[in-house]
Amino acid sequence: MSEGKKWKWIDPHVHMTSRTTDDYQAMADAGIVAMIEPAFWLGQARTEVGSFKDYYSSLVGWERFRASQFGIKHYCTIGLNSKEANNEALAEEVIDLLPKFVLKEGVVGVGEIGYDDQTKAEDKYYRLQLELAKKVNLPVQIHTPHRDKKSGTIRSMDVSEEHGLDPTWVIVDHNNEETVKEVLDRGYWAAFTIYPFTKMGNERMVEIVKEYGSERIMVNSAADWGISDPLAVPKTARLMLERGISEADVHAVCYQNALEAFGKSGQIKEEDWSGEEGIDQRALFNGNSVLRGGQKPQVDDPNIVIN
Amino acid sequence: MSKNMVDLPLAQSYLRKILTAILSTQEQQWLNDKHELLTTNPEKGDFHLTFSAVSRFIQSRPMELAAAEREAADDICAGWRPYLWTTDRTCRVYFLSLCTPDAADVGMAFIKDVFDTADMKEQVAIFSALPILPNPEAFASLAVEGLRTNMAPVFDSVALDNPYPKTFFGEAAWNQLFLKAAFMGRPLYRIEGVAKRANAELSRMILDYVHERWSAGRDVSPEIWRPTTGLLNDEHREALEKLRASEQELQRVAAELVLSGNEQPLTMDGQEWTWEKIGRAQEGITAGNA
Repeated sequence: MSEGKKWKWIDPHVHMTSRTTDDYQAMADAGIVAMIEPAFWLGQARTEVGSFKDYYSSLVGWERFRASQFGIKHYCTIGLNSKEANNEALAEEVIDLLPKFVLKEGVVGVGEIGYDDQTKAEDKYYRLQLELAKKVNLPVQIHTPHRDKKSGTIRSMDVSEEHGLDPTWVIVDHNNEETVKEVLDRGYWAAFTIYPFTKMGNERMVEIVKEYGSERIMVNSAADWGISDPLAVPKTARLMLERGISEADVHAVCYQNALEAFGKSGQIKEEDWSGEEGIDQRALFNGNSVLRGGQKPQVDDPNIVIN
Repeated sequence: MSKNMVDLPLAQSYLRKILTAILSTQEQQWLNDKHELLTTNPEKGDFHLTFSAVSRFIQSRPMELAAAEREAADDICAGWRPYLWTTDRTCRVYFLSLCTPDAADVGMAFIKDVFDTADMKEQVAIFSALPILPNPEAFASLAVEGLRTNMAPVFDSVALDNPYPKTFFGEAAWNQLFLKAAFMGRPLYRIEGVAKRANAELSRMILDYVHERWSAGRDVSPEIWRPTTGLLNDEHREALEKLRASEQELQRVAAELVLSGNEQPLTMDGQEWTWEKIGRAQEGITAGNA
């Protein structure tokens, strides 16, 4: 990585609720200036609508504040995940709750939504949330399934188009070598999750950027409560640079494309972290000695490959 | 306690006036539209959506009020300080002032419902609105709950530059407010009513807290001593004697102010000192260390 250049990264999919302050510190040190936390499944099913209400509240409240203590701007997407859409009685109540949250400050999309097992219930609530996104003019962040991935991904796009969404407002997440071509051909943003063992490794990611370039492609960590890596974006960036991907392409894939895609919400702007420190930001830092991150470009961990 | 602490229509027109002075034409149009929507048969959910959407239509910036407008705010509600707010916060307070139902129980249910799904800045706006709402005493437990937050801006919106606690908090809640503010390193001179609400129990708690900090080798803000004025026992006096020998000027001044037994300005080494001046000086030191 070129010395002296102040690289900045955005991780457009990371579940900070499940992470520690050590992670925040490491992310800030590695140059991550902004992150997007999609609403998702917490590892076990919730049984009450109030659990969703408090979870969404924490995404727009406490978690954002926690991130600010490390100089990182925190945004989120709000939605009912596909797994829990299968509890229909609960899903009905959660759907009624969503309008109270989708227009809150820093909500950059409806997400992560889509298919898991591709059941009828999942389909129903996916469609309802596509309509909500259209109504409130927000981008959509689509979770594509682990199983039967390719057809699930195609179906997500088919249904989105059936509801009249513009592909340039839709981020299709968790892509791989099998799905990327069609997602890009149809005009969508293609996000890749660098997640050990179950999703993409970053050496494969390097090859994908070599083959497809950087247009409409973005990288994220989806770090959560599982074995995952909150430094996946800066590590992948470094690996790409070491393996000959141009600086412009790395900037696009690890920063700019996420900013453009989710920027359509009007809720995430470069000035949020690079402008004059505004009155609110002073308040947030409040006596905390942690300085702004994003100054040190390097990742100290000598092993940057994620398999 | 009268039903309203303030003249609500007057507060509303004041907020509208200072917003009109600063908002762009486009922002004013949005405000007009939403005023219309919220005051003529709004549907369920309209308030929540409007309250949240403020951040999307009103660019956040300081209110920058002139001296005359600052005084006007103080005339409406003593200690009320919209000049320290941002545009989005003022706009949200305005909407709350328009839509909170009059009756105490319905009003509380309304505010509680908005609070339950509020993000940080929305919570700040809710606490900023409390002093001007009808039946303000109904919100005391909510305001006390606001002190339990770990988000400093939310805590500040209850504890600092807000006349609500001094009027509506019981003694136990008031003492927690003061001690937690000290513990969090907040500027204590910005708490409204510190002298008026001083009490013997708080004076005792302050001494305990100071001893605990000193045992741990930690500093204590000189501001913390103010509510002990006129409420000293021998242990306090012993501690204050130590303070008079402190290397730090502000600590020495604080000791002398407490020992003077009143709130009158004190002249030391040719300088006139008040608790506010100590607070501002201390705030400068804290900011420099951060």
